Amino acid sequence: MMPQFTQIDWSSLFNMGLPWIVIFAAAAIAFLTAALVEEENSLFTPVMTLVAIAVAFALSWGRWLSPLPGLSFGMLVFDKLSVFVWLMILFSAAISVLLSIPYLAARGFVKPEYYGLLLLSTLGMACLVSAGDLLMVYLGIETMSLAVYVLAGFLRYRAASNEAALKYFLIGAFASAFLLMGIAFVFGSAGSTNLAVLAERSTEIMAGEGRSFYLFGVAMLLIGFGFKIAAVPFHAWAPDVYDGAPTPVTVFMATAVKAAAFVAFLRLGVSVFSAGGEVWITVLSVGAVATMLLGNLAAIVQENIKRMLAYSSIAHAGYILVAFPSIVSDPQGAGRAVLFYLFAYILMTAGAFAVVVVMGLGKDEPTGISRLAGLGKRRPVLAATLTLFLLSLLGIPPTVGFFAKYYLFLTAVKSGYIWLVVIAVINSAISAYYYLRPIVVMYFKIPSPLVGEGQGEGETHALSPFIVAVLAITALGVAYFGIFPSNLLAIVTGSF
Amino acid sequence: MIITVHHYLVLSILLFTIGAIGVVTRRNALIIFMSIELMLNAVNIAFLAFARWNLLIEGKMIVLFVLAVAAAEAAVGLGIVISIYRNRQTVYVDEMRLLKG
Repeated sequence: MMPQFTQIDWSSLFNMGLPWIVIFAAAAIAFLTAALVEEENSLFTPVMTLVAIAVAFALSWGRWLSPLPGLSFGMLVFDKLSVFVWLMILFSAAISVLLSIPYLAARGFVKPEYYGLLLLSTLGMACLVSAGDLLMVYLGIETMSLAVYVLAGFLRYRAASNEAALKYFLIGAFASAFLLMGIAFVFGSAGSTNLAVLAERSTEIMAGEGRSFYLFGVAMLLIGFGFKIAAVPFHAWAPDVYDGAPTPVTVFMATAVKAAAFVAFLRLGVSVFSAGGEVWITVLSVGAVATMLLGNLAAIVQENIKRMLAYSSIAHAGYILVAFPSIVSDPQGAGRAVLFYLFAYILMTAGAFAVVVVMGLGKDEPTGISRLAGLGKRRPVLAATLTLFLLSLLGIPPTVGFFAKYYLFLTAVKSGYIWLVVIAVINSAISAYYYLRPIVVMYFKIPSPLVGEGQGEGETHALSPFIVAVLAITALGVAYFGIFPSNLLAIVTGSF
Repeated sequence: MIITVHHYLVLSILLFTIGAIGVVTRRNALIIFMSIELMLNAVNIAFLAFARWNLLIEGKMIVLFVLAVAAAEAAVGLGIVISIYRNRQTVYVDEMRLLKG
């Protein structure tokens, strides 16, 4: 076969890539600042980062609003879906930056390269969510992860942070080897790594002699993605890494990294799963049930709120997987439900972790749940916001978490996976225990000073305005979209 | 004997499995990392075999990307290992038990 050169419209590629260029330029400036300027406790880099994110956000938002159809450059696809998810990613990156400012300042470890790495990771996610080709999926995942490995170990004097980075790195590299093996076998059996081509040829390949190679390849891809989204049985790294990493980085991993990986998984699913659906339906449903059950049961026994939220994030990945078998029969409905859920999940998780950042502003990062005792009296507003986020994670109306679960389960019921939804609802009931426990501790438990309860060091300081901003934005989002879910539904429907 | 694509694939999967077993059984972070590199190179063999079989140049191009990413990964990974060695004077992963539960 002769190599074919497609004509690329460079000017429109530049237009589409402009937000990425802005982010890249800001990252370059951050690294140069780190190398050239002796910067201690200056706000220059974080503010520059926030401005760059805001500019990229405005440019992409304009693109999302414009009625022009999406563009495909083969390897990169700029459609409403990728622009919308990119907006979500920029939002959670901004939240991480806002949380990082007081967090790093409290530790006297203000380094400009931190923000540069954060931006580079965001850039990797941009490639990942716009990927129209399995090679681009791989490059996006690697660019994203390489920066996050370093961020997880950023507090290099802290042994827990080092350990989190090493575990994340080894597991991440292990997972990408599986992902690559999957890409190799899909490439071998389909003769292409382009997702659009795969969608066209899937049925034909499944009927032909390449069937076994193709099945093996997709199975390996599933393993690779399973690690990235922390689905059981590939979840073991998540609690350790979420626990050991600096909390603002944990926010970034739990929201942006997860959303980007899930959307890439969604794209892959839409093009690949329709052929030979039964196999993938079984695998995905079993995975969803195992992920929900293990995440929820393990979260119950946690004494540390950071680890509890890590297991809860595994459980939430399980809920999202409930919608994945529906991709085969109803890709549009499943895609919308997943997007809705990811949006809601970003809001409530970022908010809950923001409270953890406040708790952990002391040197030894005290994040035990017992530390919350009496918070309802000492910090009524903070306690009320944490209550709102926990109730939303649990899925109590009228919070956005309830409607996110509702649409997710509705999609699964419509496609006939009633047993899966029954299990998911039972799991939601189990999760009530560990989401309600911090609330009970905050309001009804009297702190006993003997064991250091109720003495979160960070609580004695006035709240940093950056943290107040994050708490206000996320709490407003959770409440607003909880009362008017149709507004969010309209946005999501316009995106997929 | 004629060497076909299947021979290469068997070789690739064998190397991949050896690498995976190494990751699971070895306790030294550096050896684990070497095993991961072995897995990546096993994948490269598979890509090249498929590229030859399908007569598609893309497979060879992907290998270049994989090599470049693996180099970047090595830089980051060794950096992380060094920072952990400075704090702990060990690179054995079974001695890293700060985080559990």
